[in-house]
Amino acid sequence: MTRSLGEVDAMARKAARGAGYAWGLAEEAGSAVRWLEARGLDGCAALAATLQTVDQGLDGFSPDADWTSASGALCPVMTGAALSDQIADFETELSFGPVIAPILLVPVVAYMAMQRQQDMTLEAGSGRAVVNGGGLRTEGPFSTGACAVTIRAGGAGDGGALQVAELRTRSDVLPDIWDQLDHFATKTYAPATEASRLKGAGAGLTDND
Amino acid sequence: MSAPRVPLRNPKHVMRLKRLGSFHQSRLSFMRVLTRRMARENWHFQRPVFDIDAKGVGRAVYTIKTPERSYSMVAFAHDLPDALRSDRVIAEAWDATFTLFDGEPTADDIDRLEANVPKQEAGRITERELALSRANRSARLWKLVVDALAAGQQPDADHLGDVGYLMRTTAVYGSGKFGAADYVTVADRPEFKVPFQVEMMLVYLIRTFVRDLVNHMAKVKGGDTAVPLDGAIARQLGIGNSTGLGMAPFLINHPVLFNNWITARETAISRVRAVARATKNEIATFRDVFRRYKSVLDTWTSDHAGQQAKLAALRADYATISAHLVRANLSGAFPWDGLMTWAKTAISDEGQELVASLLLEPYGDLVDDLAETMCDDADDTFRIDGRMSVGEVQGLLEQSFDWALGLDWDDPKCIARAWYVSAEKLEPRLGERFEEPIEDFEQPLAPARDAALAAADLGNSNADTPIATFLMQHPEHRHIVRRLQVCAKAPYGEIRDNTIATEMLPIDMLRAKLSYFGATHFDPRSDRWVRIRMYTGAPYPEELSPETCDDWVYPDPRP
Repeated sequence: MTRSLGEVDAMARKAARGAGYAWGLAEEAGSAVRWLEARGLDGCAALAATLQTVDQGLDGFSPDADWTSASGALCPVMTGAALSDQIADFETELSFGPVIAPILLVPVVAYMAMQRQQDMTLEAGSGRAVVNGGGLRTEGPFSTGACAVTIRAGGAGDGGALQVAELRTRSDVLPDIWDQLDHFATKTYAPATEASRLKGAGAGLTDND
Repeated sequence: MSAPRVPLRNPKHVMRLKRLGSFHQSRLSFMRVLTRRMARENWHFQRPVFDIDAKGVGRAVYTIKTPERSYSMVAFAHDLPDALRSDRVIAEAWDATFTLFDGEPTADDIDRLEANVPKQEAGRITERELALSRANRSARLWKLVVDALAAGQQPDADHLGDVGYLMRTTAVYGSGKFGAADYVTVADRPEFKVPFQVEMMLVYLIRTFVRDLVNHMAKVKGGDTAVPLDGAIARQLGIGNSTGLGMAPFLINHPVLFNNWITARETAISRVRAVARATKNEIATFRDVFRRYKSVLDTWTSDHAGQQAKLAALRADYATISAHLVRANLSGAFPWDGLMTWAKTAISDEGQELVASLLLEPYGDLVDDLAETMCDDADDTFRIDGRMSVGEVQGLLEQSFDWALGLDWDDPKCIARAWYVSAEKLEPRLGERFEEPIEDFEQPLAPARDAALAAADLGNSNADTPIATFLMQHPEHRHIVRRLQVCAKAPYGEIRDNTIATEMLPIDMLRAKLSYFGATHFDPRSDRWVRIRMYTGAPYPEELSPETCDDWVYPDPRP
């Protein structure tokens, strides 16, 4: 069974919110996961791993001005949001980390590439992604654990021209990963009570007429 | 074209809930855009499958052929006991269920759909399906019509007018829902560029199916005695719709789209107000639709006290406008601007918005192109511009929310409500913050309150600080800061009222949205859900023509 990208975006957003992120950050999670899934990359698994890790206390994974955190590891959602907000300050290379599930930073690096109109590269452990305006090349498996990250301008030129990514319209996220996200998403739903059923949705009059 | 002489109405004036809750359909409404296109492009309609038994149970397929593609409604009819019939989203069974299939389904496709579509939210559809819907009979009218036709009689038209439809849909799910194709995957097809054309297409076919089904059931019951429903009577039957709270969050969650809808209609109004001289034909067309609108007004009833008061005002307005039109010189300079200016002080919001919609009617050539501007194809609105300073963001905040900064947000009445999603059916609900355990589950659907909270923290920051720095310290304001930047380019994107106030009426938001669909006969069943009619007066597929495809909203009043 495949999921529509609308479902993926909504699930990622709700899951992040359920894990305690502010709504504006949860929106970043939804957007990043959708971007990755549209390119055949496993954004859902990356977010699920992130949420399991930060479940111990979100604040400890928040980046400070020097791209470090209290716990030692950085949350990719908060780090990605901060990077996205500060792309004007990026010069040619930035190393930081470790970052949990660093593939979640790739959409932000793609945005940097588009703004700067040049290739950009993200390296994290065995994973590497080169991006430009529409093109993308990934190499090696990206860890869903935490690893050091380097973002640099340029495409490290040896892999040939970038293919313009063919966008997918569906995600074939594994049921197990979907359930992990749903576990967090469920925390955003208010338990139903008879009062809310009657009052909250506004029934009262008969509708069988 | 040259710059309009008449500026667009001010968002501070237009975007109040009281006014949005008084909107009426217009030439730009999505149903009318669709019926115009169907006639213009000479779409063909077929019914390759109609396999319904004597109990009314079975399947049917209706196929539309456009010049480029085909689309099929796959319908499943059920034999639902009365006790299970509910319009509420918590229902689990319906009289009929539907999906819109992209192309022409094979027998295997239909089998797959039969295992899923009748379950609605509990089933799964796929990328081949564009929308999902279900409908319930109007129990009293259905029986009355079947019995009359079976006995060889036409049903009493007065009874039909009271209800206005044989079935009402209780949800129409589109884009990506329950596995359906995302809207973006079909957005490049010209027939879907205008919003909600997928859903409007499905509802149009549902209405046709319902007429065919009632004829079929009458034939089963009456045999050779039965007669088919008279065409003129059938045309006055629309499809009902029960709409709950889900539509209200949609408007708040899609500020650019909502802005584009409002901007299109406001631009149309402004263009017509800028017409220096109206021709005789234009004046005659306006007078004619105004006269014919009376039959909509005459059949519009509601048991909701608030709507009753609004209807009384609208009926008084109608009389006032009639009297004014006897005296008014529409042949003079800028007649429509004069009419709008007069309406502003002479009649209620309901009447003012009716006039605004009706004066577009003679001017299809001048305004119909605006329908194409109602979509949201901007994909560059998500990223926050972190270089913007705190001071600049404060400026944006005052642009949209100056009115909210003066409210007392410590007053419980100001924050009495909270929007949340229920675990039961994952549907949006509105609760009482201080009476129910819902605050922890609150959805971000109170932009004014969020703006006021952000204003306090922004005020404590240096105005030159980049907003990127502010957001690292205040991730809780990220949502509203993004919204402020988005709405900087979308002046009609924000509702200028408090969406969690104790006196707020969600039906005002539902009405605004449904008016853009082209709905009529708004009948709130509480403050939180509303029944409407869709396609009342519209031609059926075999009746579609350039002459019938557009002004069907205004039937000729019965003598």
